[in-house]
Amino acid sequence: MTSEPETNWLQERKLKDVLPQPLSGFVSLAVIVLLSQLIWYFLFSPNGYVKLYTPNTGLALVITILMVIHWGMDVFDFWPFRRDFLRNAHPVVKGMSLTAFSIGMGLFVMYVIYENIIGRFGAIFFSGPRLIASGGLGQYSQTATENAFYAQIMMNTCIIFFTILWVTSYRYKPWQDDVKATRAFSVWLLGLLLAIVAFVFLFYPHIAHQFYPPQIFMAVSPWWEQWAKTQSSIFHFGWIVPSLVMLYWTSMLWEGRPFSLIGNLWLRGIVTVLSVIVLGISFMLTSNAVMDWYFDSEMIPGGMATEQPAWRWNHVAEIVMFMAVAGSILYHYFDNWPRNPRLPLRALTRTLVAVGGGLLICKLYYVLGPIFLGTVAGLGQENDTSLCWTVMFLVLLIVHAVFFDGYPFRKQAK
Amino acid sequence: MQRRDFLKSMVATGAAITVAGMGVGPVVKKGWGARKKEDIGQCKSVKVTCVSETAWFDSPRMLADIKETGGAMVSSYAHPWTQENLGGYCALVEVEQLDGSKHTILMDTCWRQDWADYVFQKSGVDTLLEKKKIDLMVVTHEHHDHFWGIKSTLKRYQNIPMVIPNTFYPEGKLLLAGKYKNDIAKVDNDIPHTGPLTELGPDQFMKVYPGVAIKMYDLPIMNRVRGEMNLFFNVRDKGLVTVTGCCHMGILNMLYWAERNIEGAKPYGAYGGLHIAAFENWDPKFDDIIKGVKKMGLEKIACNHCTGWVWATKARQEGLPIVLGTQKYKEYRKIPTTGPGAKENVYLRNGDVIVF
Repeated sequence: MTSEPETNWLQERKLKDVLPQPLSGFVSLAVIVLLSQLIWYFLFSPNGYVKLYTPNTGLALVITILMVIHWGMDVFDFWPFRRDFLRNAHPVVKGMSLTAFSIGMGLFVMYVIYENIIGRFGAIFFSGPRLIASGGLGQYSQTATENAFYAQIMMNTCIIFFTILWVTSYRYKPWQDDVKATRAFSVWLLGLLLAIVAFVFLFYPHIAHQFYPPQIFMAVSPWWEQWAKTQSSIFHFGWIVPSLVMLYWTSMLWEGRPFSLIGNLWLRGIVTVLSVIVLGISFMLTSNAVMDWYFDSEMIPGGMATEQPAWRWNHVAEIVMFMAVAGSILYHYFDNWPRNPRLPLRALTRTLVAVGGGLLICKLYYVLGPIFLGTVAGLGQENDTSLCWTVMFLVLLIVHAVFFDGYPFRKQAK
Repeated sequence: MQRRDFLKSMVATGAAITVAGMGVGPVVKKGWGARKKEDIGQCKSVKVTCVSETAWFDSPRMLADIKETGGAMVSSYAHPWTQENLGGYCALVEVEQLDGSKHTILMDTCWRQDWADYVFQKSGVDTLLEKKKIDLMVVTHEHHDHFWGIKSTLKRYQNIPMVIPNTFYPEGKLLLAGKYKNDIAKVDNDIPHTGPLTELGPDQFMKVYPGVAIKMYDLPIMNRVRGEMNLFFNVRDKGLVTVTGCCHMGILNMLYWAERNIEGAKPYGAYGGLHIAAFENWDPKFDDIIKGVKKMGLEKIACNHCTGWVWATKARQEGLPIVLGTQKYKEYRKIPTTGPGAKENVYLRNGDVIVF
């Protein structure tokens, strides 16, 4: 790793479209939609073969793979793959190798690290099989497994958020002068540390009160109830995910602005952190107000279906992830259109496309889901979530655009 | 079969995208909005007999069945259920009108047919059906444990007037029509329902008798079921009583809906499954429900079935008026694994009766 060039691979890589835009973008999108439908049917669909859409098993899998992909792209610069391989290997060989590595690492994190190391020798709530083996009331297959994957999903969300937050805000500071291996592992460990701290405050009280009787000597009662109207920690998921998407958009759609205008890197980081959190919370509250109007009812503390506060907060995350998918399609497949106007106009246009496109995909998901995805028509099903599909689609999009260089619709410019 | 379904779904793509592009409205018709309040009148009293609340006897086994076939999103018609674990849900509701006349409603019809036959005989429902002394049957929703024992009802009273949600899947409609047999899930019926059938939609509110009404809620439910109904009773000098099958719509949603839409609705009592800690698992959201129900001022909560023994226990500890059941359920040929041995019977169990 020390002999590798200093420039990030994604900065060095230059791709060009084989077909003219926007034809190239639409063809790529059509192929990935078809591929996503095949993968959904065989791996996730309740009418398919593997049936991972339990839903938390499937959601934990795709979020873990997304986390590993981010580690590879944003922190480790594709280590352990060498730059020569990334430059010269055929896109299919390269894509298959990187994808297999990411899936393998994802499964390793889920089933070895969480389930059989942490869950076996430390925090049991990360391991479904260990919860079932405990023999406690309610710790049965399905519920225990879903609860364990819930804990993994929340932990992984924290890890993705803080890792991307750091590299977006501070790059490799304060290790920028160290060799690549040192700075990569340092940022990776810092992301894990911050995520663990956040998990303890935001999600651990939920976990401790997820048992009967509540584990009152392990954690305080959920302290956010008066704001969230629920004791469920999904409330935090409802602002962290929009904040994460704002971070995505800062890098992708807004080309680093407005935060890159701040010269002092430490100050830039602090402003970025505070800004994305404020934006995330604003998005959450605005979305809930829209849902009050759409459902013709405010949330009901203790209610169910679309009036359940926990469902509302999760649905905020679902909505913003539809927008994240739309923004990523624009960025990866349509050359981050538009390219010509001045940056504020470019950023505004892209944001509007991401928001509008996200709402369109959201609409299509709920209308077509019962036909293609095996979901039940309607909104508010207990424990159901569209995140499994959106995160899977996002993973496929990134894998195709980044690992496979967009093959066969794009190729490296010589 | 699965591959054929997949190809069919691909062929449907064009049509579906066209439909979506034309701007089809919300998938769920809302029906929650405030409108002119409905006056449903009053009745004198409501008596509910728990014919059977034991849809299954062992929760770990039930969850293993769900897990092994792919989880809660898989259709109930695709699960190879462990037959010896199955029972079913059914309640007999007798309404006394202000003039002294009476109406009898059968809510749901169990899961396994031999269990339905058994509990019908234990509670006298078999005779009521054979003599056509039941005025109406309400199938609250398409879930297996509430509906798949339909043959036991129809073989005794084939043309019983019936109300179902208008969201039944094709399998459910075929089952009702006596044209369905499924060897995986082990469900069948060859006796068609021949009586009046009302399929209630979410925008409709059915006033059945004075003081008695049915409301349908269009919502997605686990094991690929859609829509559920409940009964409302306005009991003179007492208030509003709800009788539910599973109550996937939520007890608080249901009571808030009643406050917004039924003239003079004052929550008084509740009977039935409340679908909270259905498999004795816990979640902080369940604490929210205890707090919310406390604020509603209910005076009698007679819960069972999918409410969760653990939720009923905690709710009673925190002061909710949970009605205690008797030990009569132990006289039945099979008893559930949850509950026996506990200090209090926090469920209204098989054979118990409550009058509101």
